[in-house]
Amino acid sequence: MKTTKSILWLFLLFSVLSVSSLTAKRVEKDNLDKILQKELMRNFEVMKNLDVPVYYISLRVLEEESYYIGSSYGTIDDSSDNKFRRIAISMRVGDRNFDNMHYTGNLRNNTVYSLPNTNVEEDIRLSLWRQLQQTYLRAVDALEENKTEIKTAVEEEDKSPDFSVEKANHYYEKPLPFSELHFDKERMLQEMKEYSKILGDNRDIVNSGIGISVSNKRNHFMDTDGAYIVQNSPYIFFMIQGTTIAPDGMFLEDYKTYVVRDINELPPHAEIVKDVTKLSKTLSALKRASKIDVYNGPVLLGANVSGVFFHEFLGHRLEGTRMKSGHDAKTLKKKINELVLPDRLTVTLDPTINRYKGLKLSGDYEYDDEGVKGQKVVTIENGVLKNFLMNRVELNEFSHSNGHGRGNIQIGTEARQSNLIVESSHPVSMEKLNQIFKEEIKKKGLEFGYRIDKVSGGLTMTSAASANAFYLKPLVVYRVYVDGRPDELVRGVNIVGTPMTAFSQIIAESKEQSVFNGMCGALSGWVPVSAVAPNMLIKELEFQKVGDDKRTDFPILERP
Amino acid sequence: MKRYIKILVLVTFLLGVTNQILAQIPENDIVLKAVKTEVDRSLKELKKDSLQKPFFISVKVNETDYRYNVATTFGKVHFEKKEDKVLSRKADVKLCVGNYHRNGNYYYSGIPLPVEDSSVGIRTALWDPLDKIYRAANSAYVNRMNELKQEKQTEEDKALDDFEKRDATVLIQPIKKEDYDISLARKYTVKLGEKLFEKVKKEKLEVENIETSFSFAHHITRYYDTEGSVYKYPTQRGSLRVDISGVNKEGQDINVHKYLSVKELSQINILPSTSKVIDELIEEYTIKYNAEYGDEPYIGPLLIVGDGVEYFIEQLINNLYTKRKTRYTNGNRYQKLKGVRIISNQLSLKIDYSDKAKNDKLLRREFEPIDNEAVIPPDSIVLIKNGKLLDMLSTREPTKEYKKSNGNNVDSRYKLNGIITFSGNEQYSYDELVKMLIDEAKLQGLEYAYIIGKYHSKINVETGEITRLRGHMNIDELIKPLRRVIGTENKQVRSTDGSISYPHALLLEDFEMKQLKYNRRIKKDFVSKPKVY
Repeated sequence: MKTTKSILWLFLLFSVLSVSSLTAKRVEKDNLDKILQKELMRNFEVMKNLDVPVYYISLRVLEEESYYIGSSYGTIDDSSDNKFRRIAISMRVGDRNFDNMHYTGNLRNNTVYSLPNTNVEEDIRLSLWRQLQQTYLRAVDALEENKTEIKTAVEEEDKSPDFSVEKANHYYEKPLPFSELHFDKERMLQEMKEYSKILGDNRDIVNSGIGISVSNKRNHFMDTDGAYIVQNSPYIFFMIQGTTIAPDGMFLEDYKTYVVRDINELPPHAEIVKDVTKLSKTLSALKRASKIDVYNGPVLLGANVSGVFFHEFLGHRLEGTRMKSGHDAKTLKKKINELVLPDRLTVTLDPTINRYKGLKLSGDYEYDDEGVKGQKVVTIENGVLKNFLMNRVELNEFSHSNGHGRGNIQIGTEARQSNLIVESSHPVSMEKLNQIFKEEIKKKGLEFGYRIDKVSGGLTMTSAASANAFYLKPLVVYRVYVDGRPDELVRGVNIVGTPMTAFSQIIAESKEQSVFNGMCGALSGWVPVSAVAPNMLIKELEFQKVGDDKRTDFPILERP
Repeated sequence: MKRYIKILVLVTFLLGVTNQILAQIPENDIVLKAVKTEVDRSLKELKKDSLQKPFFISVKVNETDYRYNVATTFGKVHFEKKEDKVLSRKADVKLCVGNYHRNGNYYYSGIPLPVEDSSVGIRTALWDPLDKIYRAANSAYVNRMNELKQEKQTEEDKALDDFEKRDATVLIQPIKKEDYDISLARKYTVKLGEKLFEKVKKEKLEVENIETSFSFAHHITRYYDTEGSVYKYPTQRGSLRVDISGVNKEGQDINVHKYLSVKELSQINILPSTSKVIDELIEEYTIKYNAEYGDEPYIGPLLIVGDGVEYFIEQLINNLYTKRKTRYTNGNRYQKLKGVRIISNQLSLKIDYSDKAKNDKLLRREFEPIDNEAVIPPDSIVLIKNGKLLDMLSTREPTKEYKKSNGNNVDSRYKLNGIITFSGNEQYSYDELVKMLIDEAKLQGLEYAYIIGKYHSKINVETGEITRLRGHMNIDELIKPLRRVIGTENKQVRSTDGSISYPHALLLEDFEMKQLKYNRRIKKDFVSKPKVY
């Protein structure tokens, strides 16, 4: 019996050992990553002991399988697929306090090259080894250049270290088969033709197109601190666009996009048809709309527009990396704990959610492109600036990343936005907002004000060397009369101003919020982002007339 | 009444021409029909205010309807894709306003057309670009007229047309869409990769990459112009590439490669055996890997071998295209040297465009039967005979000396649609040429004489010892040295695709050469190379 008991204990012990060894083995890795990690660490073990030591190397790999369909006038223009793998090496020499990547406003020292589509170990290891030798050579040169630059320039205001210490994270998602995006090519080809024909049938439209890009991306990240992250980011971008020319030659455009992760998340066919038809009608109406002149007065921003407004003119000023750039105006750098917005407003950047109050978001991720867990960051609370968006480039006041290091693999990473959410503590109903709007117009002694429903995007200068103004290009603008006349679609303006003044002029917000999903192309390249905001009333904004040089002559012949 | 009859006759005639052209367009060719409709409409109706009307519009559509690619690295397939559908359609448009004598024109290449056979889609894709091209041609017209006002012109200049008028040409070739059997090409490519890697391992060569790839594509070219020319023909091209690259002990990049082309997949059978290709590449890599870095400038006799001769011929051809005099240039200076000896009287250059040439067994590239301006070249053109310039490659842009096109408006000036034969009349064996090289170098008081080709070498003129050299030779002047040729080899060889026939070696009496500094590498790797094989 005793023997039996011993055997049982032995069995249990063996079982425990087996389970733990199994657990140890269960750290899942793609075969590609096993090959890369092995070579990375082999090189790092030597490079960290060189005269100019390497203290950190990270590898980012992007695997992408994509399909694109383009259609116009009921015809398929393009139908193509692509598959590739690219790798980026980021190497730091010197030490965390001062290194070759010392941030002065330029991204530098990333090495990017292609990997074979299959795991040919000889090729993968040899090419990584060779690229690491070359990268090291450039990194050492860059370190020397940075040291010289520091000595020859004025003393830097922010002396925080160049690279923060972060936890080495582990995260693994199993590969996502392309089929799970539910892309039915044949069905989509037919539907795209149907959508593009709607625009094609409208003779007012001079140019139009429908495009869908279905992309299954798999992002790998590993570094010499031991981080290993693999995450899938399927991305489906559907775009409808059309242009028309007004009788005076003004070029007018409108678009509609859907950003989803699964084809099944797209609106139903009938709804897309409705959206395309609406866009077609808007373009016809825009063509016939009256042209407006300069204006200065109350403006009601649609919720979508408010989102873009905040993303462009506030969000980019919250990106921490810019605070270290020698040529950035650093508008908010010294404003921590100061009131920068009306005290009703709170601005949060949150990559951890993919829905907000039922609205689909596209700026979410588990880990950023520097291997740091994406975190919810309340940047402005009740109007008071509390935080910046941080990547691993430290600032005096902020020594850790909050998971906002993002960027295109071709360029590198910097602090970038994710899902921007603007909330008001005292929102009002749309009815009330319209009422306040009209009151403001009257107060100003005007006959009408303007409501902006859609913009194509915006631009803002943050450089210290230029005026920190912003520029917003509206697509759909309505003139709102105070005497009860129906709203009138108008055309021909751009909005200009200076951001902090404009934000201080926000006087009311709606309860209703809306989302703008799109791609942001600042600094470190295109990344998916979202902006959620309410409709907002701005007491005073300035409109600038679209210049005559933007006029386009009509094609001489009728469209076939 | 008489006037009405006249108009009626004219209309009937025009309708007749249109119907005739339409008859030439294959019934089921939606693309050509759509192009014709839109181009005809543009010719007739594109007119704005006081702007000039178009008098000539041409559209050439390049379509790829089949593509296969396979690639290996270290003997393993890492990419393979077969696409059997219309992959791309691009249109090249030329529009001229004014008239044949004086015009403004604009050429735009690469307008994307829908991949779907849709008449409305194709017409719409052409409509807006044609409008813009029309406006650009008018700007060019105004500039041209302004230039003429300021330019002093001879009577001959004044008489010269801007654009040659020609009769319509119709050339429709059948399009056979095959079910391509790529298995042989794939097998050859993969086997080549595998065996090459095996050999590299066996020979213990220090390499960093071994790649083989094969690509094959089928294209359809369509053309229509308002003179009534129509053409349509298929082409297909296959090319195989093998690469070995590495870094030698001095940190210098060593790259060797080989291209092999085929015009039909069955020609894989006549490619050199994989063993032969591998042996040649390994030998070349080994020699280059161990060769000495040459960094001395050199002036003296030079023996050019193999690919080096081909390069000289390409440069010579490039200089023989006619070019009209403009306000800013005098055109091609060789135009004025017709009948003059421009290179050594030992050398001759001719192009054979005949059917015999097209069916030449050694040819591994398809020729296009007609040029970009709907001109079919003659059966042959003798460009240079015994050093004397007899003819040039001309287009529909007349020059004083060459008023008519001989069908050489082509996309790549180095890839003519005929077999180029470059020959020498004083022929020697290779060994004799080497001896003559040494003798000439001695005569010029040199210690070494140089040979350039696949491997560069220098020969000690006293001992005859050959030293292999590495480094890139910078050859500045190409035509002038051809005026002083000592001899050519008595062995005529073909270029990789079989379209150029030339003597294997060419001995020049006087040549200046400098080495390019090319060393981007670190002297010693910081980390040892991974042992992957």
